[in-house]
Amino acid sequence: MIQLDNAVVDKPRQVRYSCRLSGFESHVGVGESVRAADPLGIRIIQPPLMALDLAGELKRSPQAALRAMGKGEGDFILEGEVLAETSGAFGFGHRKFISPVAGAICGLIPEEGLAIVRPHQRRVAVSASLASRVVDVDDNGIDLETEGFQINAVAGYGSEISGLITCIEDFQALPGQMSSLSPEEEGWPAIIAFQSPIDSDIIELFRDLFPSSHPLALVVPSIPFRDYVRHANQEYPTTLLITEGFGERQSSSSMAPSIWTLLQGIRAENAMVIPGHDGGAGMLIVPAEQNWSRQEARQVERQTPVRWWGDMTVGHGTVMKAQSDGCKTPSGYYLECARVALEDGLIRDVPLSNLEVLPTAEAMETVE
Amino acid sequence: MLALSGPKPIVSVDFGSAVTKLGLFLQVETRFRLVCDHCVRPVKDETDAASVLLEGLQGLERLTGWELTQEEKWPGRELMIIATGSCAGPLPTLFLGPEADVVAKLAAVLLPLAPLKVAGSRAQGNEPSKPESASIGEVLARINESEIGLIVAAASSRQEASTIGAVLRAAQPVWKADKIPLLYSGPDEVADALSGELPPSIEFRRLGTDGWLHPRFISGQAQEILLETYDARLARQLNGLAKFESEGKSQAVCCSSSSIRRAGKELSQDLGCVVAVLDAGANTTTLSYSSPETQESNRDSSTGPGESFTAVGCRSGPRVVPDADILTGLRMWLPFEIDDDVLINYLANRQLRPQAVATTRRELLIEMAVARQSVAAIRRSFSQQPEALVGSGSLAAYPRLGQCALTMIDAIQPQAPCRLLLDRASILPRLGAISRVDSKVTPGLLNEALIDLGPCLSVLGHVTRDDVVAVIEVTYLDDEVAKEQQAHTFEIRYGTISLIPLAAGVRSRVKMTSGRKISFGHEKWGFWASGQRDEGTGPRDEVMGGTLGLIVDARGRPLQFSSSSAVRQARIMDWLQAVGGIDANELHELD
Repeated sequence: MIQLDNAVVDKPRQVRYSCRLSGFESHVGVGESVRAADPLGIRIIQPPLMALDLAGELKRSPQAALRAMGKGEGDFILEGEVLAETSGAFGFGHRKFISPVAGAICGLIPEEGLAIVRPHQRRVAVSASLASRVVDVDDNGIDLETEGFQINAVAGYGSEISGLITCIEDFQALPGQMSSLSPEEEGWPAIIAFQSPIDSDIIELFRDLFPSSHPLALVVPSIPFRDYVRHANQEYPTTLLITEGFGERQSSSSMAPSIWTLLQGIRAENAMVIPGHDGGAGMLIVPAEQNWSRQEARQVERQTPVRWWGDMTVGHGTVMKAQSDGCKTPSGYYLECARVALEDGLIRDVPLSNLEVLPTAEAMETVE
Repeated sequence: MLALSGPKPIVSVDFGSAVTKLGLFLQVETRFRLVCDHCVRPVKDETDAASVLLEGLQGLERLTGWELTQEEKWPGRELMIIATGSCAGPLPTLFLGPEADVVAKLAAVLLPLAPLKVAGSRAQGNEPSKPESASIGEVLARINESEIGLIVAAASSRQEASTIGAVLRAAQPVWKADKIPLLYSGPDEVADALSGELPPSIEFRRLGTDGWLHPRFISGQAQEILLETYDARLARQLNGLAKFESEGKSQAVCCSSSSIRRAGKELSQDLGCVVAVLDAGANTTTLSYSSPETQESNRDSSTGPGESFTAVGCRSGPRVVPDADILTGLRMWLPFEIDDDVLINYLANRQLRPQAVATTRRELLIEMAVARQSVAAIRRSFSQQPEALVGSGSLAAYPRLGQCALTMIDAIQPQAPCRLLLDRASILPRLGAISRVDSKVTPGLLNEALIDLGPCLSVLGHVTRDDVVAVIEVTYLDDEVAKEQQAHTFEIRYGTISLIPLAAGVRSRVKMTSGRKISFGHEKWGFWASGQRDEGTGPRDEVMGGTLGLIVDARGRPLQFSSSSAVRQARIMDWLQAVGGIDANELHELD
């Protein structure tokens, strides 16, 4: 048996995942089983508080601006409703403050003429993306469990998406492959996996082609950190899952061969991307019910894959020897290492602390 | 304080962001000794504290052959588990005040006292010309987005208190924590008004009647409460440890800053001099100064590369990118060219993998640069010059002692003679944590745990580079050494750092002659020279050597760098070679 960062590739396992929603009314109970698209409950979204600058808009002193309010603390206000109104001498200087938001007036700041409004909550139906079993429910979300395979990411953002997986190996083939993607076809939203690192240009390309109403997720080995931050802070980010780390297209390594093999094995199958939240950096779940190729899994099984970090980037290889005696790194540290055959054919002793995918004891028995 | 009775074994645990370290202490004859030391590197971030502790205890069992996790195998020798750490990260703090200047000063006063980070700050009145001023709307947005662990309020009138109360009442329903402490210091009538205005989810805590910025305000009292708040947060984070308490193993928890501070205090009393302890962790850098005369440390500062370089993925949200100043500051310490983007990607990847170690020289040099830069932000807070400079954490674990020494000197830039000590085993925080529980355990252990790198003399003032600024004449006094060695004279050139061979434990007479424009500031002889508590009766010209010898830093203060990157990089390579941080034949690997 070989473990790939919790993804057991020779047989499916119970994968537990969470939907943390910061406000949730459940329609299901612990122990219940749900099918894909079954309703789970209502997500309660509380928009941030808003400070309405009455004094500034009405061009009055803070006290005068608050006196001009037709409502007080605790009252409700509708979007577009007149919150305050002033009239100057002889009809000049007549001004209105139209509320940009509906909500409750929860505070007044007399010194500054501000009214603080808590916008009404929004209620959004939440349904199951995969056939799962409910294992925990509270006011902030729901934990589910499903039979499947799991690939852990190192970072990710965006919203949870389930859809069909498309694998793209070569950028040159990208335009052709993208033309075959259509949001109108069954199977959208899509999950698009790249073998090579991407950058901001690729994300922009997808964003230009597909509107935000047609969400998609990109599963990529790496992206420059600046691009990651820039897109994560946008209002409608494309969901992004990073499997290896941060780096430029030219200098970063490709996706771990074992992960890529796994993804290719489930090409055109249904999967689910869960971006990072409190418990982890995000993951991709492939339900076990699907009839995906077992050949690729066996191919991975014969290897003992490792991902390791060093030389300022992520590398991949296979373990030849689990733990050699202590060895000296080029930086001068004397550490316990594993002997690893790198993808480029070199053999190197890698510190155990830098190995991210540790082979299991059973796997090592077969190696040694 | 929990009393330890009898020979109760102690397991002291330091829950770090990258590595968890455990030490088993047992009473052997009349005093406690470190029996076994073990490190655990959690493979997964989400591994809980109890699992890590159990893995660590099992590691200690393998090493010692004792079954520590089974109570029945230890009749009458119940384990005491003392935990410390910085794994809770800096405490997100909201600063509220009447004016932007006041809020900025308040943050400047309090941030060095404990591991805090600014989650938001707000002054009354929108002052767009002042960048530190934020509108109520902006602050409310920040409150909504981020977890708040502590609020610090400044108000000098009922009206200001009323405004703070209105903002907090409005924001109250979206607090994520159960009960948030609000600290206030000021007059009675304002305190009464403020406490009456607060929503029930906020716990009002008053420090005194003097305003925050009043000269009579006692920062030590504020520091106690800040650290207490941080300890409570850490205890919540480590709540898995309660499992061990229910099994009859008593436990105590305190944060790394408190532990470092306590260890520094113990050391300063032991050595009889001002001690600075510099602990560089994966998330937090702590610099603590302690003087034997005062009851408590003067100042204790925490900041971290975490604040500047972290926040990738799920941990804090991807909102922080290292700014240009930080990158420029880091590059100043690197003897090779590196693009901004490459450096940023490296730092982001490093944050994803805190448990990894630098495998190449370039990576190690970046780590050393990060350590120097993270200390630079807090170094200005201190006016006292330490006579003993102690390095702990990752900077004490660099492969070569010269790398540790150079990083410590560059980070602190001492302006008086001092002695460099190294906590190679990162045991200081754990000993400090034990000392907070029972101060009878640690005497002697602290000093023994440190490697004496040797005395360090720093040249003050600036002259033309490469001028000979001092002549140091060394006469070896110990008989065994004196037979083999002659008296030597060393010329010290400005802009260099040198190691003068003075073997550890060997006494030498040292005569320093310096030019008119510079000084070593060595008029006061004490611990820095003798390496032991100085009672004022020893000779005033003798120096005890250390592992690296006598370190003479003739680069001037503050350190100045050439505007030419080629020259600057060459100088840094010179310094690294001079202290044995890198060999000449390794330099080509940096290109």
